[in-house]
Order: sequence, then C-alpha cells, then structure tokens
Amino acid sequence: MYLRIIKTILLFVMFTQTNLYAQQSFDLYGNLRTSGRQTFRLNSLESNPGNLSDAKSWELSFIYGGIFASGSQLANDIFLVSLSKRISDHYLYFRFTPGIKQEFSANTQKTISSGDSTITEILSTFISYQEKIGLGYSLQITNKFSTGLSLRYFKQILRKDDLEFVYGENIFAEPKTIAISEKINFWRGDLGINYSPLETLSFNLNTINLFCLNENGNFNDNEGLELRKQKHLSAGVNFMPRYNMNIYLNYESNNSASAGLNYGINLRGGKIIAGVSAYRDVYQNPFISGISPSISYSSQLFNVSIVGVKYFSDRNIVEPISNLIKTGIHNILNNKYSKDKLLLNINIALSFTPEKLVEFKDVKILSEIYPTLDELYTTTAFATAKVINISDQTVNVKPASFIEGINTEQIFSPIINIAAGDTVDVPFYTIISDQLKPNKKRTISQANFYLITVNSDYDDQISKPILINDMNSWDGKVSNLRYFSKYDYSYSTKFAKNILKEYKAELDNIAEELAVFSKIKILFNTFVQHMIYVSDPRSSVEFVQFPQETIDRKGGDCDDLSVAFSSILESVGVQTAFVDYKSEDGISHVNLLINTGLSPDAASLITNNDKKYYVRKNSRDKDELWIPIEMTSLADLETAWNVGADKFYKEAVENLGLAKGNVQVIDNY
Amino acid sequence: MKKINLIVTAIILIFLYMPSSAQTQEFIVEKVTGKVSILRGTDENYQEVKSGQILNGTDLLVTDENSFIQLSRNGGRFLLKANSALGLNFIKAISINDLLLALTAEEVRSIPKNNSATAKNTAVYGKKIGLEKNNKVNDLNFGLKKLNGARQLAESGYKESAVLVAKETYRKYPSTKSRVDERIYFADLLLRLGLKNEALSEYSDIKSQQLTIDQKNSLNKKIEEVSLAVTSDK
Repeated sequence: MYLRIIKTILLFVMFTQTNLYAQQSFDLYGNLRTSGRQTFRLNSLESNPGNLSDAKSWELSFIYGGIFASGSQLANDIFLVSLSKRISDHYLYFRFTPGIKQEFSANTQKTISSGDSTITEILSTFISYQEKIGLGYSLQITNKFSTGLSLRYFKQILRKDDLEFVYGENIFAEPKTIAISEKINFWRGDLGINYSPLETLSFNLNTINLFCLNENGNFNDNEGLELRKQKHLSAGVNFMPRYNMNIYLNYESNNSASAGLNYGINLRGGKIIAGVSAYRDVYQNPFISGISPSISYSSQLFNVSIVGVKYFSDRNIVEPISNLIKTGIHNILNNKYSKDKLLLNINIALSFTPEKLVEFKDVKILSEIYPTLDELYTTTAFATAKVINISDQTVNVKPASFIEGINTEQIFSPIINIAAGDTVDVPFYTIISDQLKPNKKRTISQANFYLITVNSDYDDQISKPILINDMNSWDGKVSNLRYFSKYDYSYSTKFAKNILKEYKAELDNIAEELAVFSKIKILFNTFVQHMIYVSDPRSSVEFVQFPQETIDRKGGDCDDLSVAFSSILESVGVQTAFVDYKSEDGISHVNLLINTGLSPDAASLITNNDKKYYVRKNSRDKDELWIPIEMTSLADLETAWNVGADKFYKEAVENLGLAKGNVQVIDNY
Repeated sequence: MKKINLIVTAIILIFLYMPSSAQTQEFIVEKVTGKVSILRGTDENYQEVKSGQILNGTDLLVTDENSFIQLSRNGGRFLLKANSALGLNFIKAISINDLLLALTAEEVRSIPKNNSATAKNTAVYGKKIGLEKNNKVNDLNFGLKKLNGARQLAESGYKESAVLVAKETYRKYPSTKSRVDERIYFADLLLRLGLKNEALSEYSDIKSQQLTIDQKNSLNKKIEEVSLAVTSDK
C-alpha cells in the first residue's frame, strides 16, 4: 500500500521533470542502523532531510576526514562538526561543514593579434563550491510518524582572469590580465517525512532542492558553473529482516539509488556494526559508481565509526572546463570528480541523564488487595504490565512496586530478561507489611510501578489506583479461606487444647486408631455448643470472620464456621480441606472434609455406611478416610457428618461433581 | 437459644436436601426372594426389604446367598442377583465423556505431597486396644458383593456406571483388588468401551498382583494387543 503510494508519487515526478539529477542522498555516516531506534543520529541531512533521530538529549558529532588525491597524497580536513538537542518531541540540529567543499581550476590560453604583434596570455579560472552550515528541525508527531525540515547554506566562488586593453603611449591598446571575482550564497531548504509502522520497518520521503534562496543573483555569463538545483524527490525504506540486521534502499526520482546492508554484534554493553552501501548515480560511471564500507562501535555515551568511500572509476580527471559547464555539479559530496575518502566519525552524548532502556506500555491491576491473603501476593501477581525494551540490546529488568498503605518500601518482583525491541508481560507481586495490616478501612490507594535496569534511577514509572480491602474482606475464592483459617492459629491452638485437656481421661483410654476421630468429635461437639448460624453482615463484599471472632461472637455463616473449625483442627494436627459446592446461580456453599487418619480397612470402626466417607491418598501413598462435615449443622458431629456425607456423596460422587468441577476439594495447609 | 438453633438447623437441612430429593429416582420392589436388606441414605442400620416397597436412589441394596430382588422403574426392570450390593443411584446411563472425567478425578484423589498428618502431628493419643469391627463394611465379601452388583450393572447395559462402582469398590475395600479375575473383567469392560489407555493402565496394575501362569500369559497377551492398538491410534 505504502510502496504503491510512494511509487505513484515518484512516477508522477519523473514524468513531470525532464532533467536528470545526481545521486543526492549520499551519506558519509554510513547509514549504520541495525534497529528501529538508534541512540545516535547515524545519518545526516543528505540522506535524512527529515531529521529522524532517537537522540535523547544533547549530542556532539565530529568527523575528521582524509581525501585521497592523486597517488598517495592525502588531504586531511575537519569535515563536519554538529550539535543536536532533543526537547520532548522536538529535535534541533546544527552542523558546520568545512569539509564539504570542492574546487576546480582551469587555465585557458588566450591570444590577441594586433597588427604585426600577437600576444598570448594564460588565463586561469578557479571555482569553489562549499556547504558552510546546515540546520535541521523535526517533530515527532506520533510514535510512528515524524516530519522535519532542513536548511543548508552554500557558497560559490568564481575567480576568473580576463584580458583588458589598456591604452598607453601607443595608439594601440595593450592587453592586461585582470581578475574577476564573483560570490554567490544561497540557502537550500528541504522537507522530509518518516513513517515507522513497525519496529522493524520504516519509510521516508524527502524533497531535494525544494526551495533555494539566492542572496546575490547568479554568476554573470557563467551560469553553467553554478551548482545545479533542480527539484526532485527521494524515497527510502529501512527494514530489519532479523535482529541486529538492517537493509535499506534509497531511490531518487531520476533513477539514481543507493542500497546498503548493516549487521551488528552486541559487545560489552555496546554494539559493533559493520555495513556496506553501494551507490548508483546517473551522472557517474560505471553503473554502480562506488561503495562505502563502514564499521562502528556504539555505547550508551559515544559512537565511533570509520567510513570509507571507494569509487570505481578514475578520479584524476583532466578535461576541458566546457565539460564541467555542460554537466554541472549537482552534489558537492558526490559527483564524477569526487575522490576516494576515509572518514573518522565520533558522536558523543553530552547529556548525563541516564538513557531509558525500557518503558511501560500499560499496567493492568489484576486484583484488589485483600490484606489477609498476604501470602497469596508473593506467588500470584496482583498486577501485570506490558513492558517494551526500547533499546537495541537485551535488558534485565527489575520490576518494583510500592502500594501506599500496605508497603513500607519498594517490593521487587523477579527479574525479567527482555530482548531488544520485544514487548513482554511483567508480573508484579507484593508483600503486605505487618505494621500496616491493622488498617481496618477499605481505601482506594495508589500503586506505583517502576522499571529498573542498569541505571541507578528507574527507567519508567506509572501509577494506578487500587482498592485495598479491610482485613475481613475475602475475594470469594474458597481456596483462599485457608488464609483466614491460619490467621488465628495461636488462639485456635489454645482453644482446642483447653477443650481436649478436659477430655484427657477419655482420650487416654481410647483406641489408638480412633484418636483422631475422637478428637474431631470432642472438638466439634464443644465448638457447636454455643454457635448459631448468622449470615454475612454485608451482601456486596464477601466477609469472613477470623476464628477468634467466630468463637467470640458465637456464630457465623458457612464460611466463618468452616474457617473456625478448620483452624481449630489444624492447630492440633488434624488435616482438613474445604469443599466448595458451586451452584448454577453462582452461590457457593462451603463445608469441610476432615481426615480421620483411618485406613479403608478400619472404616467399620466409625461407620457401617461406606457413603459417609471419602478415600484419599496421603503423601506416603496410603489411603485414608476423610469425612464430610456440614458446618452449619450445629447439633452434634453425627448429624453434621450425616448431612455433610449425604451432600458430598450425591453431589461430588454420584453426580460426578468432583469430575466435572462443580465440587472442589481444597486442602487447608 | 436452643430452639432457634434447631429451627435454623432444620431450615438449612431442608434447603440442603431439597435439590437432591427432587432428583431422587424411585424404584418399586416387585419381587423379593430370600434375605434382601437396604441401607438408606446415611443410616447406620440395615432394614429388610419387602415386596411393594418404594426405594429411592440413595438406598443401597444388599442380597444374601440364594436371594434376589426385582425392581421396576418407569416400566423398566432390574434384577439384583444373590450375593450382590448396589447403590440404586448407579442404575443410570453415564456418557463416556463423564466416565472419562470421573476416571481422571479418581486419579487425583491424592492430597498434596507436602502435607501429611504424620508430619504435622507426632502426638499419639489412645491405647492399643483390640477393636471389634463391624462385620459388613470391612468385609471382603461385602466388597465382592459390590463388584457383583457392578457386574450386573454392566450386564444390564450400564457399563460406564459399572466401571465407576468397581473403581469405588477397589478404593473402599482394598482387599478386593487382589481378586484378579474380577479386575480383568472390569479392565476388559474399559476396553469394550473403547478406553484403551485406561484398560492398558488397569492391566499393567493387575500385573503387580499374584497371578497364576495362565493369568500372567493372558494378561501379557492383552497388554501386547492393547499396546499395539494404542500405538497404531497415534
């Protein structure tokens, strides 16, 4: 779709323009990209008039270059110095380019005949093209789309000798060489847009010579020597077929083009990138006029690259100036007279603000906080975040959270390893501070989430509101009733032991096999003596009493009574499990399964009816009898057992409730 | 207070019983020969069954030697032969999917490994006393009666229910597991139901019992055949 649009625009421009243009998007930075986002600006105004850059703050660039003239002669020069700054979505760029220049000189023999005398003079012509400074600006409109403009200031100097007749003592005028000097300065402006629909794919569309503002007219009678400034377009695509690899193609509307391939290797927190670009310029021969190999090393703070330019045709050309006038110079950096080059490019990040490596895309709160279920949040995430690695390297992320009202310090969740460019789900766990637990009121608090990488400070932070319930609130999951059950263990132990102490004589004389069952019977019959069934005080929120509260208040609903009796039994070493009966209307009922410790062979010690027990394997692979007890049946154990067994056998066994998931047994441990 | 307690308990009991009584299956006793007794719901004592009596799904029927009982329900008849025991709720059709679910649930009856009564409680109350056990519930014969009941379920077309009853019997009456012929019968039943993996697992488990040479050879042959069938299915 996008390619079709670009192609249509380019075809339109090609048909409406008659001139041919040189390959303008020639770039001395080597186009060294291997990921969607680069720390440093790795291409310049030539191939990037739209000023796409991921520089985070101030950046200083410096290019020192050598130009290979004839033979081994090497002309050294400072090529370019640039300074850039990002301010939020705005990016500003300035460059000084003493090295972007090209000079030509020519000698012309001129003969004047006057009577018998002939005068021959050698006249020289000197032309200099220079690009002095460049300015750039871009605006990041969305994450995927940016646009920008560039302004470049050019200077052209023409010095030309000529003959002038001076009248002396003779009647004939005498010829004399005079120097004519002309200077033309002009601004060139271009626009560009960049679109990155994917992390691995980006497109750009740029103008070339969109507008040129001459300060002081043209060369008199020498317009052919001026820089050519025809308008046209260039379009480019960057694609990462795999991590650390990038290919790009730039196409200009005159059929000039450039293409390149870069490949990176991560090294000691940085990256080495090697690449090669090839150029096709319709004004140069052969078909591929030159290549540009490059190698660079980038760390967070600096980038060093070496870029070479090698042309495939002879560059030590001597030819009549008329040729230059005929073809003209379209591009100071890249034309048929350009020499091979070797450039050292250094980019330095001047800002010491740590660079962000990862950022939040979103955070989702998975559950409210129920302070009594504190252990749950150490194994089950209360929130999950989508986190993206925006760097070009694999990053270890330490997620942390702080919830006001339940944490006294940041709580760290397990470290997550995120590959460059990847987005992953990061779970957040928490530990509820014991000091803050007595808070009895439901409150809406703020959960603050942090992503920490190698930097001393966090890379990103986000806050979300979260509901913190009071201590008696329950999330309705029967599996979490155990947290209420064990909350008062010390109280339950004391309660159970006081009762059992009263029955010491009876217990001492009981058969060993029946010890557990007898304990269950004594504790149940004593526990229910003063209990009544009371439904929850609130209907909107599940409410569960702690065992001590149920005993003190002498009653509760099925959850409260099951929690309390389970706590009492567990505190004296009798295993219990909650049985969750789910109904179609969503109303659950809870009662208990209690381990008698008896083997199936000994079932007859407690019952004649095999429907009244359920056989489960213990951890030593031995079968044991568990009896279902209905905790709302507050008469005595026999009745509660009969009611519980009847319900369990029908719903869990006969109606296949356990198999179908309508009935669930949840161990309390 | 006690009155309120009783009223609340009664209301809860009515509530708890209500949905199940609605589903209760009723059977009419058409004919009884010899001694046939029932254990109703969660009762602890058996009652003698008489002709014309109405029984429901929560009842467990037990026949003695030379006894049998004929039941009718919605025009259909069911005969429980001598030396058998059967919960009437199992006289029903179960889908193969439900059977598979139930067999899976049977496999996960174990409590979590990190938990054991012994590990948590080292105290031992009580004495070593020679206890008199009830002569019905722990009796190997009673387990075998239940297996007989399961066989008759299978013969009456309720193969899936029969498998469930057999599985439960092996759990509750572990001594019945050593009855190899009975176990092979129910493993064959699994195979007839097309549950090859389950049958194979059962055959392999039976191999751990004491077997006669004939039983061993027969089992090995079955295991080989079913293994081959399972492999070819994959």
